[in-house]
Amino acid sequence: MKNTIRVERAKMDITQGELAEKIGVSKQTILSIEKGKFTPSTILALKIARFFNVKVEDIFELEPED
Amino acid sequence: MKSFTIFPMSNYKSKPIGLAITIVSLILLLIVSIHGALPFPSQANAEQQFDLFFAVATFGLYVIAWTKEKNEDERVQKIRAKAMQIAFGMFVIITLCPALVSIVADIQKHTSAINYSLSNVELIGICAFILAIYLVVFYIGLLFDPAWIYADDTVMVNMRKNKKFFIVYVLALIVLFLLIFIFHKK
Repeated sequence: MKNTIRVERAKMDITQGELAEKIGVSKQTILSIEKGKFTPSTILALKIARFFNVKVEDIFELEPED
Repeated sequence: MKSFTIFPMSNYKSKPIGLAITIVSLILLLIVSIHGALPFPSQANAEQQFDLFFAVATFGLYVIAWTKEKNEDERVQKIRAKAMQIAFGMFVIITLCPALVSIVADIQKHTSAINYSLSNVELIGICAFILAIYLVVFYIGLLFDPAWIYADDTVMVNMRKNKKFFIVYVLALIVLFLLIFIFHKK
């Protein structure tokens, strides 16, 4: 699953660590999600979307193999 | 949402306690292996002290294994679940295989009695080995690569994707077996 978290972070000028702290997860989890290695749960995806004030489908996108 | 658990995990502050218990016990174990019985506990001989310190060290590993991370988020829980799965699989293999071999051997000898008993050290050893496997797999997954996540691929696919992990895992296993060999030669 692709995501645009890095882009959204850049828009808000915040680091992975700061985002992780706001969402309530570890920095490694945010890194894993950005690299596409870890698929967040629905709750976590909603929290991320709410933090950036966008819709979930604006940040996360299914890939053909999904 | 109500939840139920039999073995709740302790706060991350318990980890140093578990580490201290394990390290002190291993040091005492080494001393007993090399120099013989210690003055305490005075009622126990060297072999009994060895068993006792080995059991306490294993308990220390259990305390570490059942301690939460500082940030116990869903990625940590997923890695933990996978590490538990791998450790449990290893447990099934190392207990089932010797028993099956023994059963087949007994059948071929046409005997009716299955004589397979484990000493204290062997029982504790199985427990310690499985806990160590779990801890190695969990902490490699957690710390070795921040973007690491175990995938439900085949072993060959995982090995191709994560060569460094398997090298470290094999090295860790070799160290474990060496420790077992060293401590067993008493």
